[in-house]
Amino acid sequence: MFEVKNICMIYDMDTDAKTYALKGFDLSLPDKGLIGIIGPSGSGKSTLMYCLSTLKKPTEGSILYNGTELAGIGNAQRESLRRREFGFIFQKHYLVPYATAMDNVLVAAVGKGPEVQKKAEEFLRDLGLSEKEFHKKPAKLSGGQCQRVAIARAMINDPKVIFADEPTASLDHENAFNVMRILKKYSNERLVLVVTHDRSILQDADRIIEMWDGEISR
Amino acid sequence: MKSKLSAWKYVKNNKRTVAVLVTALALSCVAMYAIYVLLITTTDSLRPIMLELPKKVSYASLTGKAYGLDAASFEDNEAYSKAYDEAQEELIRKLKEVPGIDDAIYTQIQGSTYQAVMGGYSFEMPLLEVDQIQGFLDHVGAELVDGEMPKEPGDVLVDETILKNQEMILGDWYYKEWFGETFRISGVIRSKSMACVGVPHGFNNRGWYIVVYNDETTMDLSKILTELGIQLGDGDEIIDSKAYLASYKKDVEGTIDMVLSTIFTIVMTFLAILVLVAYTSFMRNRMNEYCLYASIGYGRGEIYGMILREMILLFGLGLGTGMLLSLVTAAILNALIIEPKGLVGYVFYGRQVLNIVSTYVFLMGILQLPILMNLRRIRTIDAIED
Repeated sequence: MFEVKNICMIYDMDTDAKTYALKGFDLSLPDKGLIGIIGPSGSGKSTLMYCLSTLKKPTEGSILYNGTELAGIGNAQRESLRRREFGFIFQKHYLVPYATAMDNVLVAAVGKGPEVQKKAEEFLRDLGLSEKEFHKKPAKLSGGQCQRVAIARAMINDPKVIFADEPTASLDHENAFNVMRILKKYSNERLVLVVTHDRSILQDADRIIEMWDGEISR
Repeated sequence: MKSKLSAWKYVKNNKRTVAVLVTALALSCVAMYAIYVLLITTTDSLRPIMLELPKKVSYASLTGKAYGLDAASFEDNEAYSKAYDEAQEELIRKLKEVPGIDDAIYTQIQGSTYQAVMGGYSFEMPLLEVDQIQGFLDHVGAELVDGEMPKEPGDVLVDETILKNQEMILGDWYYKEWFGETFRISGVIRSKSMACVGVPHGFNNRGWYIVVYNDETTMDLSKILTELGIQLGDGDEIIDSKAYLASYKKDVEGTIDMVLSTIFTIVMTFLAILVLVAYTSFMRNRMNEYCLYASIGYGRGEIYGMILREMILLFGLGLGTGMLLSLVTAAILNALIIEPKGLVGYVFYGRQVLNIVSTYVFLMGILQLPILMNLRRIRTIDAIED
């Protein structure tokens, strides 16, 4: 799925205080599976994920996604990839505060119509939300429920890759394992990348990448 | 079918915020429309007197010089007066021969007034002999609708609209505060030009004039007199369509337009500031939402499209509500203020509707500035979290 070659991310390039978030390494990721990226704060794990997901452009190096060089594509193509082939779960759920749980899922959907609506309902049901909760706004849902809505939003288009950045950071233990269970199930058919500093949630991961100071240490 | 960001969702789920903006837009619309309705009655109401009546009646007060008479060349005042009277009679005879002029009478005139919402206008009415009154009514197309024809000195016939406007009734003393108990309203007449006429009472008059019964082809009395050899100068007073039209354009339309423009500009400026501040704050509060959309793959163009659709929806709601309320307000103003004063008013003014719509479109144009500035600030979630 991904072939990363000599990836570098340097911040504040034009100043004396350059910061090397990624220091030039290679990486290969498969088409499916649950891959954990772990490391302390500042290790570059989130930066790596953002580069892979086209949210950031690396300073040097190349990222091939199914043979396509991501650095060489334009903004419209990047947006299309994020829309159709990638799904995102952020640390904060970033749900639209005035929209219902259902609308928050549908906002990411590529198509529209009754089939999409039915699919969204199925996802939310599978994720443990009741019919009544479909029509509630984020303020009326718990943190765990909000994160599950965010997962449903990430999955609605059946993306080839899900990028989850600290998806369990604001959840209690039980919800955190529930979320990881759902992601593990999804990873049986697709690639799921989970960035975290909590090793305990990666017990079912197919591979764990350890990062330290902008490099892969293991 | 490809999905796009919905504009309706925000409006549906943020009723309070939307209500504030829509109310502000609607009330501004009502203010602009109501003020227009009240002020434009002045131009519409004065049109009959200032533009229609001169098509029927004109007045001339001429000096001896106009007739080519030099007072110094006469033995005495008596000789001068005699020459003046003869010249005037000759002029009246010639005027009666002009095609389009029904009659010309040398007589007294008196003043009348008509009060609009903003300002009033004084106009003339001839004071004729009793047996001349019917001829005047026939010429201006007026009919007696109440009371009786004048019989005594001081009897006047007043147009029903003037009566209403000045809160007088049949039998009242005509403008008692000006003329005392001199002129009495003996009858009420109705015509398109709001003409009034009366019988002289002693020397209570505004002056002596040649009253000319003209038509539309002869309403430029200055031109007619010049063609008849009269040398018009500074001391001569001609009250004809040209004079009325000039006065109407300058004193009525000019003043009203200026007042309306000033008020409109003030309301529009206030509204623009309010909407700019509200929208800037509104967009800033939704920045995370826009950043989310950008992160999950919506382009800036799509986000802009949603913002634009929301704006059109909000302004559309504001304008629609405002217009509805404006028409209701106009109907109320007409019923309570305009019509009881005998003024001319309408409920629907297409020109003002167009002005208001243009203003709103202009405001939406101004709002593109904060929108585009905020669009530039949209980042993906990674940038927020950095």
